[in-house]
Amino acid sequence: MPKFKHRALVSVVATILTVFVAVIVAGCGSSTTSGPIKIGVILPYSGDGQYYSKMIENGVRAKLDEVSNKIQGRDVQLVTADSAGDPAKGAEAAKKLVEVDKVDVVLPDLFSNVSLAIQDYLATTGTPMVLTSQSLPFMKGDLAFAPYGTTGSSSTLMGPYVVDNLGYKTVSEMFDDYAGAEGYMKGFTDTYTAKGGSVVQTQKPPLGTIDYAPYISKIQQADAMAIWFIPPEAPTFFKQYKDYGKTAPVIYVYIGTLVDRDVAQIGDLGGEGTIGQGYYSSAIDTPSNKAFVDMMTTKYGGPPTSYEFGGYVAASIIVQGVTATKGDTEHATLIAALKNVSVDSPTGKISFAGNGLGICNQYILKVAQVNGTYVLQPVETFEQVKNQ
Amino acid sequence: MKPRLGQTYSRWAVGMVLFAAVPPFLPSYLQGLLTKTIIFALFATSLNMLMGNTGLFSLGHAAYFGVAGYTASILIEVAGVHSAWVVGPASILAAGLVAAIFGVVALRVSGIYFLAITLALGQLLYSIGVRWRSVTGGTDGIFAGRYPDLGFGAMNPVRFYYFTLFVSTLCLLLIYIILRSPFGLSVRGIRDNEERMRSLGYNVWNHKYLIFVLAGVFAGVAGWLSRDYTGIMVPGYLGVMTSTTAMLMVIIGGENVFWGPILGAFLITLVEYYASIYTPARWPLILGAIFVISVLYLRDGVAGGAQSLAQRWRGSRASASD
Amino acid sequence: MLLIDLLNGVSFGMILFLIASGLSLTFGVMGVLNLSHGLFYILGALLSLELVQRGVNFWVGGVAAAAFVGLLGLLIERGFLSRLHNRLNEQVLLSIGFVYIFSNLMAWIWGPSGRLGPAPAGLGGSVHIGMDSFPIYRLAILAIGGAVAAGLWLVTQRTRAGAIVRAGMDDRDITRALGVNYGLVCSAVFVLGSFVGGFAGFVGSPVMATNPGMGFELLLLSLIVIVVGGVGSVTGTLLGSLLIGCIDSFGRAYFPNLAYFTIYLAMIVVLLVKPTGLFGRARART
Repeated sequence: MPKFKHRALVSVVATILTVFVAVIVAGCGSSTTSGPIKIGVILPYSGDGQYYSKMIENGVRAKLDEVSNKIQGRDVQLVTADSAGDPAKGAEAAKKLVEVDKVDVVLPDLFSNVSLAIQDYLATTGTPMVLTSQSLPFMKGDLAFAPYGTTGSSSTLMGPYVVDNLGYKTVSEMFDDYAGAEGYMKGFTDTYTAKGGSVVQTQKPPLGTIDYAPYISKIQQADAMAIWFIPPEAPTFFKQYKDYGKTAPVIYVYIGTLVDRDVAQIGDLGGEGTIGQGYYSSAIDTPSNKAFVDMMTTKYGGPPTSYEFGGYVAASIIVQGVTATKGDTEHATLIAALKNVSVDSPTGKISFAGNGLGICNQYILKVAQVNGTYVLQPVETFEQVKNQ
Repeated sequence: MKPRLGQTYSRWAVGMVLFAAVPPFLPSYLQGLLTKTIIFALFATSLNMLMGNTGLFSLGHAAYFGVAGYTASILIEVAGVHSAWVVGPASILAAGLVAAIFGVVALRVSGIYFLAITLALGQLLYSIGVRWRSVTGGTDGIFAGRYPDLGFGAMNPVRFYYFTLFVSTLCLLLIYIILRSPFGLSVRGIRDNEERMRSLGYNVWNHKYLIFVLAGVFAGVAGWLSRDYTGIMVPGYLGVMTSTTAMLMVIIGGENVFWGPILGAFLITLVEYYASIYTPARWPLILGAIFVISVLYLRDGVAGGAQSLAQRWRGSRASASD
Repeated sequence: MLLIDLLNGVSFGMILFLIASGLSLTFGVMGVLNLSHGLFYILGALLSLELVQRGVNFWVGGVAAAAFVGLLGLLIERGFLSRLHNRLNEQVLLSIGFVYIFSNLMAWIWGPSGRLGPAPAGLGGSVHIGMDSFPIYRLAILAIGGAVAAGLWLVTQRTRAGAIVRAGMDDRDITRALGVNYGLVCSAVFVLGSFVGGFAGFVGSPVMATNPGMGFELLLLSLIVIVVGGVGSVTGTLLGSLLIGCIDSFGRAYFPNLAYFTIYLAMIVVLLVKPTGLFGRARART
């Protein structure tokens, strides 16, 4: 009897362990000068962010397709991993990409807290990272390349613009109560107050608020409303704002975060004229962007947003970097090359200042109707801004 | 009693040997997964102290898991206390304390009501975790660095695996002893028929309360280990999703067998690994489907099903040799 | 101003009532805590939004969506819950599984982001109250909620069916012994509960964005309402909802740092003082 029980337990445990091992039969040692180049992409493929993940991945694939999935004679493979919007899972995904798939470079997550966790782990492996969107201030410098800088950079230009061009001397602020939104708002607030503007009120509804009525009812008199909400919450805010008869113009400090559907909804809800900053809009009128928009519309059925753009640019940066190293993807070599890249993106040149923070064009964008649809219309261009 | 115990402990020994000998030969990523699975096996087993053994279905068990994790994170990151000899016990104590407080509130009611209350209490802590940003870092959480500082030698993934294995096995053994003791027998009596136990003179509330707190303490150990493993603490670890994950492990693994939740932890981690590669967006759907099937058709879980299969086989072998 | 705050609280409370009443009914009668109840709201909202987008009249679309949700409720009750006859724990576990399955399915079909609908014609716009404005539609919600509450009250208090339901809440065995087909009662109640849940979604869709992931959030709100208001009585659920709605709204407006907690604190206080809820029936169901 005892022997039998042992056998059962042993066989069950052994089976499980064997399956565990068998399951992970991937990525045996790869060289850094031959064999496929592996780009790891960590995104929230499950959970609330999945809508954006697909868009970012499309942007990456669009660029890779342009170069026929080959750089310097080596094939390029995209390895995706799900973070489920959870920092721990994101870090685990990074671990898998590095240890099992042996990727050469990683594109970290969309969500700032997950991205931070990923950067934290990758700092221990020396793997370079190219961000597809903004970052929270870096934890460990050297390895991460953020073309659009930190969250604050996406709204700093709005401050002076509001004072000088729009003449709004006072604003009431409302934004989600978490670090990402705070970062976006701080960029605006710092430059706005430096230029003489005055913030009369700050309200911070928790993330996931479904009814903004209590906050909207408390809005104090000011020239304008400065807001930042995660895109899924923006339409609710606008609807309730209008429902309660509020008329002060709205500044969505980093407006580039919105996708077409959000912009259309906001336009329909009476949000035309809402203005803010962004580093991309499909309505930017340059030949290279027009070509990009046409290509993406043909490929994916709709105009690109800052998410596809982010993926596309990140992939372009990697292509340039690996081209410069003549196909050598050894970490330190690649990082040195990435520091010197200069990419001709759809919106102009993108390169990096010494600390991994990018230099790119930034725009003031306004929700306006163009040919019957609401888009983010650029009303001012800032060339080659050094993002912080 | 003696032969049975000897038998049981030799099974434990065999299991330990396997878990101790194999891992160094595994790739590092797999070691990490195994470490995580063992931690969750402990967490799920602590929940089963309440579910399978006392009939208390708690949907807020992650509260204690998360409290321990946050206590550890805050001690390390904010108070600068690094020694695991202080951080560990403090976190576990904190978890026990919260369980002691919540137990008073939750045990005012029973049955499904109890489930609802524990859910709400867990979410209360979650909302505190999200809102009290100055202390908990809000949704961004706290990064306090991986691995405990034991004061001798550097930690690395392999050493941490053994540390986790050691601590978890110790706890599982303690839980096993508790559940096999007269106290364990009485809580199972309460599960089966509360009224009768009361009429027999047992202080039902005291029993429930004690096991509730003990379960919270062991969940705290798991929470502390989990934080050491990931280095990150976010409010999600306090909330309903983590609690239901543990519940799923218990049910799918089997709540009527001691090692059921352990098996459940392994099964779910395995399926999750596969799903996240091939269909990350559909993972919750798959998990839900497995769960529903399990509740409808395999109520005793995989462990229970395996045991009854084994019984039947032994039974037929016995009759064949007649 | 105070009146606006009060109206905010009460209109939010009405939405909560619509959501929670279905849960209270099924919990009170069947003893089953359907944790997937929030999904009825979401489905009702998304379906009615679809119909309205295709040009169907707001009210027709809404009732149709709610009816579909009621049908889904019937399927769940007949197909799954009734199989686990009398096993309350298992029924609750099943509902947890459904949350995972259906939230994911809905996200698959409709995408994970939130959707908002327009207010129906004639109820858009706002009225002036003193210096401020208040949306007309929210006033309409007060009326709709009140009508539903009245309807439910009439059914449970003044009809034979309602008497049977109430008897079943108090003592299931005797009701059965008196010859009542308890299975039928359960099905009917569950369908009604899910219908009202879907209806709540349709009513709420012009006010707040619906996203497939908000299931647990809605469930929690309903749970708190039920704990505070008490299970099984329409009045209890109504008063509980209005109370919670006001506590939440006033909390967010005047004590923003406590915003998230005020309703949980209310729940804990009620639990410690009167576990069956402020207006609840008899003992807490076991």
